[in-house]
Amino acid sequence: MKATLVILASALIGVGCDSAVGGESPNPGHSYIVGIDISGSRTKAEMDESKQLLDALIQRLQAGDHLTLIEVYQGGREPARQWSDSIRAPRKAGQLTGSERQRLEDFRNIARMQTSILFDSVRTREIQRTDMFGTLARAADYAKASRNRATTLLLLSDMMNETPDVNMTSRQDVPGDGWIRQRAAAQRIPQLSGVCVVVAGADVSSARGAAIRRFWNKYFEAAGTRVSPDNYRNMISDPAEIACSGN
Amino acid sequence: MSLPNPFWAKPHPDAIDDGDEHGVYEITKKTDYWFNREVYQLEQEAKQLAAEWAEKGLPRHDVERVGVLEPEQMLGMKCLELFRQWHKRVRVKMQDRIQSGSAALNRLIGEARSEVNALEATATERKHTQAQIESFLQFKEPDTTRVGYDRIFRSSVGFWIFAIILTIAEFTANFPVFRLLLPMDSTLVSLAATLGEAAESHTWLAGPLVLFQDILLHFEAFLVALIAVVILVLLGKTTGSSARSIVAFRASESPMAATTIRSHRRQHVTVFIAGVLGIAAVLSFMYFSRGQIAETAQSRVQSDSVSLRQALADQQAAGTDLAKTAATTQRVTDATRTLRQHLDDAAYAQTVQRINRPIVLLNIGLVLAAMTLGFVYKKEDLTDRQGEHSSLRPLRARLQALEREALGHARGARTSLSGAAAQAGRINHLLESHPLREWQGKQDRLQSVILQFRGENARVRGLDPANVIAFAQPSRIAFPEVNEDEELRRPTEFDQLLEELSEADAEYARVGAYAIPTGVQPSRSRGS
Repeated sequence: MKATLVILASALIGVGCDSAVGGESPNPGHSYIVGIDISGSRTKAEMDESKQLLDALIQRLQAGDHLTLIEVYQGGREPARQWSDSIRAPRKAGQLTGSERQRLEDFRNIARMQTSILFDSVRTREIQRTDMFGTLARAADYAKASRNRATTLLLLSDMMNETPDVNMTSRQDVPGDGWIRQRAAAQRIPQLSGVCVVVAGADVSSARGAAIRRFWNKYFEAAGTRVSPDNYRNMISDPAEIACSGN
Repeated sequence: MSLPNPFWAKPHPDAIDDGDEHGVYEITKKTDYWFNREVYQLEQEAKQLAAEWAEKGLPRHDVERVGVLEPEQMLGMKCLELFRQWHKRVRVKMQDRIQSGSAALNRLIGEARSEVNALEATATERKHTQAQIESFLQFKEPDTTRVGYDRIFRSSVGFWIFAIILTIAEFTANFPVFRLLLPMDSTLVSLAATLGEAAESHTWLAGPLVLFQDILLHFEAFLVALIAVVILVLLGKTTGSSARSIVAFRASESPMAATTIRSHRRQHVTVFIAGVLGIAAVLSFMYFSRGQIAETAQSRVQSDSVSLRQALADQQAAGTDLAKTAATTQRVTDATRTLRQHLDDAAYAQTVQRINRPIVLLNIGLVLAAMTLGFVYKKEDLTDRQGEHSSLRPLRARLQALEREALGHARGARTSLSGAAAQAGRINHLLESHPLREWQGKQDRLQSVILQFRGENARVRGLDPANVIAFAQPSRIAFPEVNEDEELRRPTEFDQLLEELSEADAEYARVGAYAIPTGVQPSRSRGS
C-alpha cells in the first residue's frame, strides 16, 4: 500500500510540474480600448477588415488584460454602446490554471459575441453622424481608469468626424491648427498621455485623407500622445502590430 | 303384592368397611349376600305354603299328625341343601383366592428376580464403561502430533504483491461507478480538462496520467471506491482465512485438541458468515448502483439540456444589449460545457450498465481470488492440548443412561418384592382366617324357616300356633356337624415360593447398592 501511495503522489507531482512547463510569459495585463466606427462613410469591406482585426486581437488577449469596446459616438443625445470587461489576472504569472484558461476562453467568446453585435450591418445604415471627439473623450476616461496597465487605443475608423461642428467630408472642412489650439486653450481636448494610439481603417492615400491625418497628428499631440506613421494605417492584418514602439 | 326386599332396600351394614378388598370379608361378602337372598326366598316360600295350607284349614288344629308335615319336610330339605351349598362355596372361594395369590406371588418373585438380574447386568456394564472413561482420561497423544497447518503460499512479498494487484484490479473495475455516482464540480471539470491537455504531451504516458488525474480529481469517488474495494479485499481475504480454519481442523482427528478446535471453529464460522454477508452486500450495492447509473447520468443530461435551452432563450432575449449578452453568453458557455461533460458520462454509464453482469462476474472472481489468497496464506497451530478424547463424551452419556436404567431396575425390583411380600402375607392371612366359624349363625337362620311357616299358617287362620296340635312336634332341621377349625388347603408351592422370596430379597439387598449414581467424573482438562 505504501508503494501505491508513493506512485500516486509522484504522478500527481509530475502532472503539476508538467502544467507549469510551457506556460505563458509573465503578463501584468494590458488594457485595450477599441473605438468601433460603423458609420455609413465606411464600406462593408472596411468594416469586415476591422472586425477581423478585432477578432484577432481578442484571440491574443491574455489573462489579466482589459478590453473596452466603444461604439463611435453619433453625437447629440444618441447614446453610444460600450462594453468593458477584464480577464482576471492569473494567480501565478505565466502559469495558467485550468479554470484560468477556461475563464480566458470564455472571455474571448463573449468579446467576440459583443463584437458581432457592434458590427451589426443593419445598424450601420441607421447611423447618420460620427463624433470622433466624443469617442476620444470617453476613451480618455477609460484610459485613466486603466491605472498601471499599459493602454492601447485602437481606433477602427476612417477618422472622418461628421458632426455639425466639424465635418471632414471635404478637404477644406478639416479644421486647422488654430482650431486645435483654441480647443486646447479651452481644455476641450481629452488627455491621452501614455496611451498608445493605433488607427486602422483611415484613408491614407487621398489628399483629404492626408489632411485628416495631419489634423489628427496635431490633435493627438495636443492630447499628450502621438500616433506614429506605422500606427496610422488603412489596414492591419496582424494583431501583433497593434502596439507602439517602446511598449 | 310384592314385598320389599329387605336385603336390597337397606345398605349392607358393613358397606362402610368395603374399602378393605383384600381380606376374608372381600371374599365371603358375595357368598353371604347369596346366602341371605336364598334364605329370603325360602322364607317367602314358607309363607306362601303356610297361606295355601291355611286356606284349606290344614293342618287341622285339633288333629295330631303322625310324621313330619309335608311342607315342613320340603322346607327342611331345602334349608339343608342351602347350608351345604354355603359351606362348599366358602371353602372353594377361599381356596381359589389362596391359589391365585400364590400365582401372583410367583409372578412377582419372577419379576423381582428379573429386575435384580438386570440391575446386576447394568452394574457390570457401568463398571466397564467407567473403566473405559478412566482409560481415556489417562490417554495421551504422542507429542509428535501437531494440530495445525502451514501456509500453502509461503512468500510474504508475493502475498502483498497479489493483494495489491487484486486491490488495484478491483478498484479499476469499480471506480467508474463511484465516479459517475459522485460527479465533480465545474471547477474540477475545467481543471481535469487542463490536466488532460497537459498529459497529451507525454505521449505514451498520457493514458496512465489521465487515469491518475481522473482518480485524484474525483476525490470523493476515489475515497469511497478505495474504501469499498479495500473492505471487499479484506473481507475476501478474511473469509478465505476463516474457510481454511473451518475445513482444516476436525475434532475427531485431534481428540486432545477437540475443545480448542470447537471453540476455534465457532469463531471462524462466525467470521466466515459475516464475511460472506459483507461481500454479498458490497457486491449487491455495486451491481445495483451500476444498474442505475445510466438513468442517473441520463437524467443529468436532460436537466442540463433544459438549462442550456433556458440559457439560449435568455441569450436571444438579450438581443443587442451588450451587458445582458455578456452574462447570457457566459451562461450558455457554462451550460454547454456541463452538458458536453454529462453526455460523455452518460455514454460511459450506458457502456458500464451494458456490461454490468460481466463486471459482477469479474468482481466475484476477484473476491474469490482474495479468498484464495487468504486461504493459502493462512497458518495456525492449535497444539496446546486443551481437549480430551473424543470417545469420552459418548461414554459419559452411556454411563448416565446406565445409571438411569439401574435406578429404574432397582425401583422395579423393590416394587415387585414389596408386592410379593404383601401377597405372601395375604395368603397366610387367608389360610388362618377360618371362614366357617359362622356356620352356627347360618344354621340358626335356616331353622327359623319352619317356625315362620307355622306362625304364618296360624296367623292366617286366626289361631295361636300353640293351639295347633300338629305344630306341637319339634321343628328342628338336622344339619350336619361342621368342623369350624378345619384349615384350608395350603398350596404345595407356597413354602417354596416363600424361600424364593427370601432369596430374591437377599439378592436385592446385595445388588441394590448398584443403583446409587456414581456421577460423572470431572474432566481433567475442562475448566483448567
